[in-house]
Amino acid sequence: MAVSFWALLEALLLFFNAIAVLNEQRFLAKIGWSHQQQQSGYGVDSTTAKARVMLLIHDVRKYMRIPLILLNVCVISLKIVLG
Amino acid sequence: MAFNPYQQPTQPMNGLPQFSPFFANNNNNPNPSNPMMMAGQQQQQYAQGQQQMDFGNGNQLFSTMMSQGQAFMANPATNLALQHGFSVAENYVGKNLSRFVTINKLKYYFAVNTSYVARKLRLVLFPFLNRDWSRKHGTDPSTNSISFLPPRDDVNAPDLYIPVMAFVTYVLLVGFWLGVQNKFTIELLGMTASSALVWYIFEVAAMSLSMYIMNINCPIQTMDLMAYCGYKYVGMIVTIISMFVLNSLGSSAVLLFCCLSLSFYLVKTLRLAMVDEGGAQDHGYKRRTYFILSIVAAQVLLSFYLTIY
Repeated sequence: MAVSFWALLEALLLFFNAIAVLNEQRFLAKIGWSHQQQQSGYGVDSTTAKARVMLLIHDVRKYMRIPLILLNVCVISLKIVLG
Repeated sequence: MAFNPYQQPTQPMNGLPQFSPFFANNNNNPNPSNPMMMAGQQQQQYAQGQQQMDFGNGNQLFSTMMSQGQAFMANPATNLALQHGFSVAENYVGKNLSRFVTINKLKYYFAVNTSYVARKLRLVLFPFLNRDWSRKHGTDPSTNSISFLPPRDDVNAPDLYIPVMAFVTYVLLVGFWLGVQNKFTIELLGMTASSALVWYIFEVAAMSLSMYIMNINCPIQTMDLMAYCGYKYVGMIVTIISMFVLNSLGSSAVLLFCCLSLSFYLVKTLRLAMVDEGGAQDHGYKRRTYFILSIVAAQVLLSFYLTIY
């Protein structure tokens, strides 16, 4: 399976988009993966794997929002122009 | 003779920048009344000036563009702009590069000499003969602190020279092997290189991410991880060389041996690299063991996958 470098970058972008799309209040709270639920318990317990994954999701949603918007605009316009 | 795009036109240039064939007045026609005639005259003059170009009537546009390019490059304003651009780029890159890539740390991984490379290759392929697996400490003269010795002085230190060289050699050998089988195209070389690079980046990123998620107490540094994940290319090179000589069963045996050697080497080295130095109780022992085993499994799987030609 020959994978090109652009495929990796696109896959990475789509992966981060998928993480950014998960809504905290509507979806993650329902399945108990929300960051606020974790914090309102016994403090921030960042040693278990689940807590770390939740922290990662929360951070990606918070900090990668603006760069993701810019990157998506670039990639979409490139794909429109170049096909 | 072949077409030489770098040859300067033999007729003298005007002082004005010649960006359009309609401005040129190289021939002796002082009344540029007909632009099409001008273009035609200029084409004839260039065709005479560079008799190597044997274009014919259909390629006038191409030769016009080439002549414009040469006029552009010979223009002194272009040289000035280029120099200015280079100096700006140098300043900007020089100031901001140290924020992203620490050059000193990178220099550590490339401080090798030939005897180190020979010993390391022997270590990766035949680790059974080694006795001492610990990395040596020494005083760093620039920062005056105790740190690991560079690879020049310590055979157990990871380096990035061997992975880089082995990666390039692997790509070339795959191209050579495909050529021997008459299956070679130029695109395959680039595709092999980018595919192997993508898998390498994916592997290093997955290992770093899993080290964070599994909350390992003493994680391996990213550069060290890059080095350790790059040693499998040595085994892959040996396998591909053996493909030339042996049949598929023999090369599979060589691949198996290289994978076993690499697994042995990695287990011994990573166990020492991830030792938990704080506290008497060792809580993360199981996680570290699983992590080391997963690294080794990834190396073996990728070695098999990237040498199935």
